[in-house]
Amino acid sequence: MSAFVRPFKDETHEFSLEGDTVGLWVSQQGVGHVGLTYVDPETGGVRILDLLGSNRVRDEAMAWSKCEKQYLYAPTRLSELDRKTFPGYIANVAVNAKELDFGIDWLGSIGSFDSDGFYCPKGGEQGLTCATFVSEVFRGWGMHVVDETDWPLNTEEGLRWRTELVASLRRNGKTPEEQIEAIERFDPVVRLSPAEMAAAGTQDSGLWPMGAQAVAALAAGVVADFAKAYRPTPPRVTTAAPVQAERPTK
Amino acid sequence: MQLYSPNFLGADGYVGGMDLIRYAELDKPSVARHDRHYQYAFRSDEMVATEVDLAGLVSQAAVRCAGVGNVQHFIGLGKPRLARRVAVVGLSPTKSADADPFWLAHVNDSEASTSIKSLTATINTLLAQLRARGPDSIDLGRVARTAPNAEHLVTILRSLYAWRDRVAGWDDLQSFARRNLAERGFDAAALMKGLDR
Repeated sequence: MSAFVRPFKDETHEFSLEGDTVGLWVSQQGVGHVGLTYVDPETGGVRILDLLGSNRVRDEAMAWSKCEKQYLYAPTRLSELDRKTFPGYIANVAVNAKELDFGIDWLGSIGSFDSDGFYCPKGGEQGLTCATFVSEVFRGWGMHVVDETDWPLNTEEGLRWRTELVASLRRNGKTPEEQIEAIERFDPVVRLSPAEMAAAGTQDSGLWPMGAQAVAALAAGVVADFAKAYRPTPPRVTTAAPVQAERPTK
Repeated sequence: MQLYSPNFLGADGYVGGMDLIRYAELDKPSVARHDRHYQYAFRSDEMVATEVDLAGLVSQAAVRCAGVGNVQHFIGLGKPRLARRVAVVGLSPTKSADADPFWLAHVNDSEASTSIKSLTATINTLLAQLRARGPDSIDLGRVARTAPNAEHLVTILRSLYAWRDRVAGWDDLQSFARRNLAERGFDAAALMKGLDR
């Protein structure tokens, strides 16, 4: 298991104001998902912030029971000052950005968060994914985690992802069909995957902004860690003889 | 109509809607209605009453007289979310002319606390002012150019990062901060990473 990606439910790891105040969590539900976790500067409680396919920005207290399901946590390596201040900014985003469109126009969405956490999309922008949402929250605080100009366009993996994403959104039934069709038609497809965002977000800020190749290598590690942490249970095999039904006596 | 004792006036001399919430918290239902609040604003003999819903109390149209005193009061009570809402919907023009907002007081005090709470108060009061009164209301020229509080200074720059093209003096303050912090022995490059993009 990588040092920077581990299951949430780790008894040796505790959230504290002196330690981690902002982290990322990643799951493999649907086509994969990533969100932020942060320590509320007002209450000291741990909260999660993420963008859902239903266009809702979810901000809620961390439910530790969820950690028994398949999530991995990745702590950030922020400076001491950013550890103290970034949660305050995230809290503003949580208050001021309740809804925003889910979409795959990453390049058009750059800089779409105001300093006070209001989502102010530029004209023609189609929205964010869970991963680009996280990236933009970092960017709103002046932290450029990834270099989006270095990402490849219309890769086979990206196009396959778009097809799976569209199918997933239709299955969930919470995204307007018109919006799904816009995603289906959008070109070029530039994908920042949840694993890539989690991997890049956990690196020392001295390495930011990170290019696609470096991030891809780290992201492969996140995917591998996930497989190790949540190995599927093998099917039970039994060699017991089948019980013979009793024949009714006459 | 029985009005409030002078002790419950907001610091700016206005009785704002937030004072009514204070009454509710003090369990004085005879003053604060259960689910509807009346906001009274008065100066001298003039009194204007606006009926608002509890939910609407924090709407922009309703609370125009929430003074900086009230914002500070709620921060002091440990209710920064309420303070943020109060500040968002309006800052008293009379009060804000007299007192430095939190963020400015913090950055100009080299001994100011740099706890999470204090830095968060800088973020919240700055962004609340920005949202309520616009970028023109942010006077970065009032940030001390001698030995400003380093952590609050960088926090202000980051808080205004997305507005840097619209807040006058942001570029100058950013340049000043890099020089000043480096001269004072701080790792300016690390503290301000990303702010030069």
